[in-house]
Amino acid sequence: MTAEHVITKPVVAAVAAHAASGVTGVVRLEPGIAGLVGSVARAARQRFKGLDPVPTEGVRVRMEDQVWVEVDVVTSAVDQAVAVARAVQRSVARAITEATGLPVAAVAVFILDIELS
Amino acid sequence: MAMNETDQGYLLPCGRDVEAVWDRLDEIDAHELECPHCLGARESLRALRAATEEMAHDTEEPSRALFGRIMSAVRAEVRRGELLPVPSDAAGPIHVSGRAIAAVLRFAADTVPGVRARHCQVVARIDVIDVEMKLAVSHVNLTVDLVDVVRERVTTAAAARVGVRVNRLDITVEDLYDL
Amino acid sequence: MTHIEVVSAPLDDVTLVTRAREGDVRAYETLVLRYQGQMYRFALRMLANRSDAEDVVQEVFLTAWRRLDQLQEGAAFVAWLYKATTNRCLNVIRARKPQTEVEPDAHEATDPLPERSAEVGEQMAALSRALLRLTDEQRACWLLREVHSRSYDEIAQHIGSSVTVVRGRIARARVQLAEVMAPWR
Repeated sequence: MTAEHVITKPVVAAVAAHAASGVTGVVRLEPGIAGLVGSVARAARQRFKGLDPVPTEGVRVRMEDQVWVEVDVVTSAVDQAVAVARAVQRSVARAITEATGLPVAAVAVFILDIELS
Repeated sequence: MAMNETDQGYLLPCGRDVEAVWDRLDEIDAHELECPHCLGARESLRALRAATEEMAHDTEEPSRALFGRIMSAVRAEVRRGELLPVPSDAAGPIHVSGRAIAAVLRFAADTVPGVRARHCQVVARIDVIDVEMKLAVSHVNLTVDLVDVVRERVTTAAAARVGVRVNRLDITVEDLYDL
Repeated sequence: MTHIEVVSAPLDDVTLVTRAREGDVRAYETLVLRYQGQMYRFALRMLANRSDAEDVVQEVFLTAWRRLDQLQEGAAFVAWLYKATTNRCLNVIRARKPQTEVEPDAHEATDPLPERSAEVGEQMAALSRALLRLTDEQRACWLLREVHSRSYDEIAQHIGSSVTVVRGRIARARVQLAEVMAPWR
């Protein structure tokens, strides 16, 4: 059955972006897919085929009966990068489920830079 | 300043070479004291030297905007490099830029007095990372223990700042930066 | 996390270049700030035009960023900068419409510092104008030697010529400049 989404992808992406930005240790989201390279990253993204990029927000979303999200962030060196990523995953998943009622299958976090000061 | 260009250089009418006069501008010999050509040349060269020193000490800077333009263009061409997978769970995969990790580890190495990290390469090995690092060190601080201290700081930073375990850490002191 | 303040001497060029080569943009910023002034002043006296000089400097530093990989280990970054700036300035001059002399824009000496006497400011301005009457290669060699303190070997590399030729150009330049400077005793 094709899911009809009352809430559109750009809105879900915006919810995700807002949730991610509010996490302690996230300096900003990286606009655009600033040249993700490497076979490992590409393989990881195979699971997210059909995603619509929202270039200005650093968020990509796929919605079916579940939601898949990718987030590109820059973190602060003051906080442990992996811990920040986990917090982003929790925060984004909670915000999207609250907004859409849909379960979130996975939140992939790409930390593109760590700001040292 | 009348003079002749010859194969040997530029000669004043008295036969002296202008470059020789220049080289000895702060001394004077018997000939030069009497010779109007040499005296004239010395005055001109002195004036030139004074103006040259002015120019050498001039500090006119380009506009501040130039720096901005250069760095904008540079940042537009930054190659991101590899994104390395780090241990994650069912919530979703987590990747961290290898270059970002390298910068964190360099920073940690730099906290050791007299150490400047140079080359730093990070390779992901499933759940851990392998690191190759090269240091420049001050000769004042170079001791047998120094690399161990760096090793400890780097390993700690990898765990505390990034959240990854270092499997292999190759550190080489490749240069003394103050000798 | 305990913040450790690291107060240290400025990083050496080799460290900065190595880091920049591996993607460290802040390291490259430090290099730009360190050398843009020198390159700008050199280009300015070659081209007698501020806008052209800034364009040259911008191109040089962007190209340097792209070519960091190709910089030989141990080869001085600053030597590469001087060579690139020299080449680019000479190309800019050759691309301009043929003129008997390079026409300077409103490039007079900057406002003299309060301590400077008016006469000294005028001296440097006279020298700047006199420089424009040399050939491009003479001007480049003379500036690199007398203002930027490059060695004869280095200048020969920057300009793609021999030490003998460089010496000859500087000697000729010196003679011509001294003749023009003579009224300013």
